[in-house]
Amino acid sequence: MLIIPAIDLIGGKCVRLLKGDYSTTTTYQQTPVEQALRFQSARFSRLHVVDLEGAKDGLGRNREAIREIVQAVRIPVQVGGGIRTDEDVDSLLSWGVKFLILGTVALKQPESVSRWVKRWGGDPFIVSLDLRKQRLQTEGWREESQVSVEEMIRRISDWGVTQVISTDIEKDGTLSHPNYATYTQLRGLLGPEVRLIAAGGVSSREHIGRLKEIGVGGAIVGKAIYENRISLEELSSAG
Amino acid sequence: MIVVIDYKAGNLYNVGNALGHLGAQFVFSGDPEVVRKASRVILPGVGSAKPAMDSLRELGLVSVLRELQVPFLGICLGLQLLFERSDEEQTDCLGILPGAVRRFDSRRLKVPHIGWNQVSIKAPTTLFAKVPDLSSFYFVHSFYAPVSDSVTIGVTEYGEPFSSVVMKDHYCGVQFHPERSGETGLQILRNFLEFQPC
Repeated sequence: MLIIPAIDLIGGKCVRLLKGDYSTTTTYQQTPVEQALRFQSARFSRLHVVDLEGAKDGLGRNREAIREIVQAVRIPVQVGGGIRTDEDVDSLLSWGVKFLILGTVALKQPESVSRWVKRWGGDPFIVSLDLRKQRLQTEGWREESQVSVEEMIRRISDWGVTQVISTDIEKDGTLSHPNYATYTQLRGLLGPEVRLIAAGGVSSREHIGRLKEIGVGGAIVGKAIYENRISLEELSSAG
Repeated sequence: MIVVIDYKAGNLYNVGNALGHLGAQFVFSGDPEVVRKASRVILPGVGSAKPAMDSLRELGLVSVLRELQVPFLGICLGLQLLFERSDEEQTDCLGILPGAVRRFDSRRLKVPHIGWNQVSIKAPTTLFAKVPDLSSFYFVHSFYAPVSDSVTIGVTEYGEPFSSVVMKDHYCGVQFHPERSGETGLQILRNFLEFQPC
């Protein structure tokens, strides 16, 4: 199982939010590049970087920090937040970002995603299913989507996307535990070729063990690292 | 040569990967000349009926597929296109099999039908050789072919029974995705690669 440490960016700095609420921001000391290098030396094999302002207002700030991270590390980087246009996709992929995480755009502009997978194939894309009480959320988790989970899974299938991140917003940044029921349900719905990556509330080896049993193929860990709930070494070897 | 029809309907990677895994030699093609000379033809199903039929027509493949003399496997939408019509945007399909494709009733059921479900085999066929009855396969679809005495070989229940496997002469269709159904699914593809219509 892939354990993916998270770097969330606001104003070019590493931050964490509680349950996606922008008013509960904690800013951390290290620069994004320092943080990324620290994760690389702790032997993680992928990084998760989110441009929180991109997700919120579509301005795509923090992109400079993302570019620096990708230049600084050897391990693959997945990036999410505010990816909406052809230019976003072209520039991030040309910088060497390995995987682009598509959330709002996958819900609201599926025709854009169809165009991208035609050009680049399904592999560089990860679809993000952000759930609050089993309903899909968009626009940086501030809006409920009318699109059903089943409809999204059908689109993912058509696009040939083979990775899905599912965040349970009620659990994100809470250090409680992952929502196992949600992941079990999604695992049953997604094609077997799709790697399901869990995010939200993952904060111990035990959580990771249980997710693995359900058939979850990856876990994004954020706050538990920043708050030293679990050591990097313990975590990177838990997969 | 085995030909996987590339009709620009979407992703063919899964089918290609599965055939590659089985060591089969195949090409992706939408060229009528290539399809006409194929030893076997697979019509993968992605997307919806109308654009798929439009693109088969544009490529000049409709009559070629109707006149094929070699084993043919339609997957998912590829099964649905074998019938005369689909309720999906009232599309005229290939008409190789009799009947029409219907939409699941979304007032009663979650649509699309997504996930693993069992196939009950109604008539023995080499397409299901070494595959136990009631094996589970992976489905993603909103439309289905009703059960019919003349063509239904396998039945799956979703709200009501529907045709998950159909066959007539050398034309076969499966509503599930064998390329995405693990080892059991691969066995179906393996069987198709050896399939000889009787």
